[in-house]
Amino acid sequence: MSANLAEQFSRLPDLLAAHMLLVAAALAAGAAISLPLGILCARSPRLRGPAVGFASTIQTVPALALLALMVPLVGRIGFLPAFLALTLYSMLPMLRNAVVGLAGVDGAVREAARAVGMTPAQSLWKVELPLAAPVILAGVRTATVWVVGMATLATPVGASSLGNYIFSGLQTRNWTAVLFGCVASALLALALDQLLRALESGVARRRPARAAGAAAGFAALILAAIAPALLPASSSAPAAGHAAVASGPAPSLAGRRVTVGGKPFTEQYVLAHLIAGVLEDAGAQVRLREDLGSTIAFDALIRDEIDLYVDYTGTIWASVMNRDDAAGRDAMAVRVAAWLLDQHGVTDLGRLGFENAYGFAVTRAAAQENSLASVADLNRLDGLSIGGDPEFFGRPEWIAARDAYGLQATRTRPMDSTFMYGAVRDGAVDAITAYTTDGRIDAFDLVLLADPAGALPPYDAILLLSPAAGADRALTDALRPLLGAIPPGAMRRANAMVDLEGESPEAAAAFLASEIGISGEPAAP
Amino acid sequence: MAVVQLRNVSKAFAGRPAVADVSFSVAEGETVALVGESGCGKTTTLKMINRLIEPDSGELMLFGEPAEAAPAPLLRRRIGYVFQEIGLFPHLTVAENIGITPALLGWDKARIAARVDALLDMVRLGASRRGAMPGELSGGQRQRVAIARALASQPSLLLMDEAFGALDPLTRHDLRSDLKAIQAEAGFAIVLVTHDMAEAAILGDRILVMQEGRVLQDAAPAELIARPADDYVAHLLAAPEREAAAFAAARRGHG
Repeated sequence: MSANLAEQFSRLPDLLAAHMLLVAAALAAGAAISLPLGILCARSPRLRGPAVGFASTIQTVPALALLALMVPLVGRIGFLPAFLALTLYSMLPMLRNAVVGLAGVDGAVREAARAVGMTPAQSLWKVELPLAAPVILAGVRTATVWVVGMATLATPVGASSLGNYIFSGLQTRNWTAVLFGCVASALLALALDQLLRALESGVARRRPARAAGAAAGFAALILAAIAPALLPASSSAPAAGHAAVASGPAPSLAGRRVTVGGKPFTEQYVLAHLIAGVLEDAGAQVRLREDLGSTIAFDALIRDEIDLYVDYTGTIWASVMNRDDAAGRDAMAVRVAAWLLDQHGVTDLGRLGFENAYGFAVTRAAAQENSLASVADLNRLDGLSIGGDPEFFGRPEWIAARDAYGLQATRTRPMDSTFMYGAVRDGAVDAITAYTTDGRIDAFDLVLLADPAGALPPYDAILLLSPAAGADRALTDALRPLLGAIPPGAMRRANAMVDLEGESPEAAAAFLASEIGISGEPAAP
Repeated sequence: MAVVQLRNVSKAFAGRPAVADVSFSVAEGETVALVGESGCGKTTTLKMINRLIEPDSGELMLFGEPAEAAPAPLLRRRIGYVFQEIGLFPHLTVAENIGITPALLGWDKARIAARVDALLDMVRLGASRRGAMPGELSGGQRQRVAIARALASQPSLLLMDEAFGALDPLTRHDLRSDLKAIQAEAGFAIVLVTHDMAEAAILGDRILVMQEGRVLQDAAPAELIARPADDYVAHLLAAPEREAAAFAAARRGHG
């Protein structure tokens, strides 16, 4: 447990820096837009309705959805979409308080400002803004607390933040990491809130020294936190990719920077670290971009924002190619590879050797009691409830399975995949749509039901390379030993190490590497 | 030379005429009182003089020049303005409030400080109140600061809109006589708006009676009382006497 905690602390400087950079940039941009807009609104009531209405509407969009929507809008993942979403989100409290604060300035004082001979600008700077400052600062405070919290949701769109603790911790059942991320984010919000409160009361009580002290503390905290992000990393080596390629007939990856993507679940973390280890052995500098949302990872790949990641044939078939017909395992693999190259220039290097399909799972006791062997047997159960990840119930194969096996009356219970194994074990649901490589199937004594109608498509793990990476011989050569090398049993054991034994994904990747005879240490986090 | 001259000035709000075809002038050092019922256009007329409200039509001359010749903020720095709501800047000290117009005019600090001290003395507040915040003062003290602020740049015209309306009778009486003394010394002209006929008669060299945006009569107080233009003016001018009679009756009744 203490090693786990030390591990979390070691990630803190980078994640806190990334989180703070995101927060500071979004707040600065939000303030730069909202405060002048608030002043305009206070002067022209016709603008006020539409502007405040727009900001309020943005506030009604769920934070995670707003972040996800920014990705197709700006056409990339990472800092930019997260920054834009947080900026938009921060606007309402600052805009509203600027409008309210300025409108709240006594009309007699405004009239006096005009009457003593102030120009509109002098009235604004010398009278209205100083009087509205406490209300405006209260808005900045609210925005700060909101944005610190919302920045934890930037992880799935590819922006690092304290949310990395929460998202990866949730998937790998590392509750220490989840709690660590929550506490870090809450402490950050509290610290910034208290500093802004000191600034606010200094301004309200007209104590310039106190206000200046608080402002300096606020700036210092932000600077100290983002310093690691601004200073060049000491470990960074000069990039010399071309020279290395030209120097010999067997190209190595010395100096080549490779970005490995991954989706937010255990198997993807393990595979990302395994691949990173292989590439680092070949001399590459690897950057991990974990925790990408499912379609966000694919979008990032076709735009060359990440070089490679592991996806599954059934996912590409249903979610990317939008096919709802069935196909055999080999036929699907061939057609997916051809389609990816043809439509997006994406190289499907090949299958890794195991399948991580969806399978309907029940407890062994329930299977024996109700003599369940096939999915078709489930419709004999009264009030059948099935748990699964939210993505599954939106996929065509659920529709296909439901119709093929007469499961129309089923109650579907979408939940985070990490919780569904426990849910079926404890009887909260009758069956789940398990991932067939998950270690908890064996550990919780679950039984996978047969799918005689072939409703559930195959899910072979495949290694996908971006258009640019696919053309890089050195890179593809370095990755080729992974193809066909990972048997399902080995993958399941690696997953179980993380999910059940509390090992880190790096440790599981090291185990997997030795298990399948791939040399090399896994990547450092 | 007239300090203020209005010729055929009109103003309507949302199509409703507030001031219609008003003409009058104010000489140097003269005090003119605008009287009439609420909504008669007297405040609108006053605020058009320092261009807090812009007229729709007509001509306004200030200090012998067309009012539009200079930007309104520059013009207002030469005209004092005191109103019922007082409108001191709550985030500035008494001294900063009084010195605001000289500061806008770019006076140096020593000159502003000397002027502030002289004004505090003039409105009988005492230099010890320099650093006080407006919130720490009584209503009468606040209005004294407002008068000092209005006179800070030594204007030759002071506009007053019900300036003493919210004060208790004793404070009002004191301030009124102090103002007369200050005016006698400094020699500025005053245009004041009031609904108090006694105040208009005491302070005013001339009284303009307004009704529905028009000037009914423009005359010295004695002339107005002796020869009112119509029954309405006579009725309005008799208000203080009616009040005094009612007060006397009440005294008898309860004494």
